[in-house]
Amino acid sequence: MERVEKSMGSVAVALDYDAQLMVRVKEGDGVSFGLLLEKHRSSVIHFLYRMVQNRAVAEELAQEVFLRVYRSRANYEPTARFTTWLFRIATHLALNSLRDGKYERAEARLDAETPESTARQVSDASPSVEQLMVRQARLDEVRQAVAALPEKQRAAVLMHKYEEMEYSQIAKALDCSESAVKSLLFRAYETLRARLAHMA
Amino acid sequence: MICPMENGDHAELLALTAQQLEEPQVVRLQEHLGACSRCREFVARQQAVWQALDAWEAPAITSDFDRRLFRRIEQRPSWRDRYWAFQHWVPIAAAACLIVVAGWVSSRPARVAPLPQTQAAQLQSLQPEQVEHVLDDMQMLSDFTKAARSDAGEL
Repeated sequence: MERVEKSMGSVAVALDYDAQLMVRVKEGDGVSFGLLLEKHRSSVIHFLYRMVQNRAVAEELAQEVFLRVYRSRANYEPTARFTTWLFRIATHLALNSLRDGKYERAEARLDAETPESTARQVSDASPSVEQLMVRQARLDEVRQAVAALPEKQRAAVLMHKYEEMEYSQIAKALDCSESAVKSLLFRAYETLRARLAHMA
Repeated sequence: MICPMENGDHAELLALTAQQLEEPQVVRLQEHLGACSRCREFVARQQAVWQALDAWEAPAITSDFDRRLFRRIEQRPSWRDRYWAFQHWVPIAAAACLIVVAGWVSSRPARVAPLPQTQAAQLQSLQPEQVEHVLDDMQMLSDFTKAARSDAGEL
């Protein structure tokens, strides 16, 4: 399947830019590290948040991701896209965190985070209490459906849906083949379709 | 076109929902969807999932995220980092020690094997009379050898 490359030129420029920044970081340029952090901070934290479903854990893991990027700068070689490398580290840490048992704590905090989400939505559009409750119930349903996916399927869906990463990038981040990624995504979306299709 | 559902190529339909296809592909697939209810249903359900996922916003990032990160960067590596760094060198150090020990062992001079316990006991239990007896025997043998040589010279 052919995928849209947005614009081959702009992708290539973006790739070169990130890689160049990282090469400068390798040479000791702290400002370039700041630029990389500014550019990718949100996407990394949001990805990790959706993986572990806990803001504090997600931020802690994101700190570790950028810390590893910085500390391994001496060994960096621009052989792949910077984002692929970045999300490979993030995925690795997220999967380890889930396997270490932080997942249970994250699930326990799902309810605890509900008021915060509600508060954000109130300021957005001033919906009625009933609308808020319906929206919250749907959001919880989405979160639980994603959380119920096997870890690798979850990571693949999040990278595909929210980070708009290509199959080849997801494959490198998950250390598997492209066909395996297609299979992971098909099974994940099949599960989500069964659980969420009624929301249409 | 070949039906993606029949062909088992759901990736193209997923890409259509994700708006990741180029215009000619979109037009071609839209034409197919007009005639294929299976693909149409698949895309509709996938779009519902897509919209549901769109509603899931991540929370705002705490304002001191960067400050905390740079503070950690400026700090010395943690004990965990040092432990991992140490672990990295352990096999190399162990291999080096092994080589040194092997070299030392192979360069040592061979030691003289000690006498068996029975021989040592025998030496310790020799009495002066026995030593004199042995010396007498040796003297007698020496005299016998001299006598034999002189006999041979006369012949």
